[in-house]
Amino acid sequence: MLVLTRKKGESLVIGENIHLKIADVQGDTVRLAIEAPRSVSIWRQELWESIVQENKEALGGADPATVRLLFQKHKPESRK
Amino acid sequence: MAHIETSRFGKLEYYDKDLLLFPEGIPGFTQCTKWIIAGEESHFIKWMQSVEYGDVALPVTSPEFVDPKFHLKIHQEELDFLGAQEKGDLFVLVVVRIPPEMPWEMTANLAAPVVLCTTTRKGRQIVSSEDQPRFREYVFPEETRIAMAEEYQKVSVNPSPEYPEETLWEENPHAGPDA
Repeated sequence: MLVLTRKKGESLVIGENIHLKIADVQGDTVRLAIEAPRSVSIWRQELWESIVQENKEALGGADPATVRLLFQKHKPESRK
Repeated sequence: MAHIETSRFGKLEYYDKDLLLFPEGIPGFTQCTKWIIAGEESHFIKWMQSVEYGDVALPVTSPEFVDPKFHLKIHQEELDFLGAQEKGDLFVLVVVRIPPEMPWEMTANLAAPVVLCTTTRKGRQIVSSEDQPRFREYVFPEETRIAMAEEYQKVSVNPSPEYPEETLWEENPHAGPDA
């Protein structure tokens, strides 16, 4: 892991085309301005972690045979 | 035509044109860049099956089944990434979590839908900017869940014909097997 110190107004260049600027610092809050190609998605860490968690739980859920059997009688009415 | 050996569906055959292309994978599965949709036509639960990892498949459904008023909020950058000209080019699925012991309690992740572009077949799981993100929205309304739970209990409590004595023994620990 690389650890750097930057002041307000200073920037980083990541790879060829990701620019990260420290736009503002107020107390313990930092505002970051990021320029990156559309192909690069940027997530708040905690949000990324929750989605990873949800996806993994979905993977570990009931299998198709169980689902098919139990829901032969019940399907949510197309509620349109 | 290609095929993949899967843990849930056995051998699945598919054409390249059926592939869904996820350049970044999805969170937790960033190595899985190619998927197909498996499952029965008429069933409301389909499965996003990885064609690179046979044991990776996620249950998915249409967000409207869960919330008829579901509205996808998506940024222009995301439309550009997917190669979509407009929202009409998009097809949306939500990942469903199905607790094995209580499948009626299944929940859908409306906060992070899987968005696909029908023209390019590119996809990405995005965060739909809702004020209160709903990661676990019940698929079935409460009355239905209660009814299904009861139906399931009736099936489990009736002891199977082979082991009636053992069930009685467990329910009344003070009674001996001859009681």
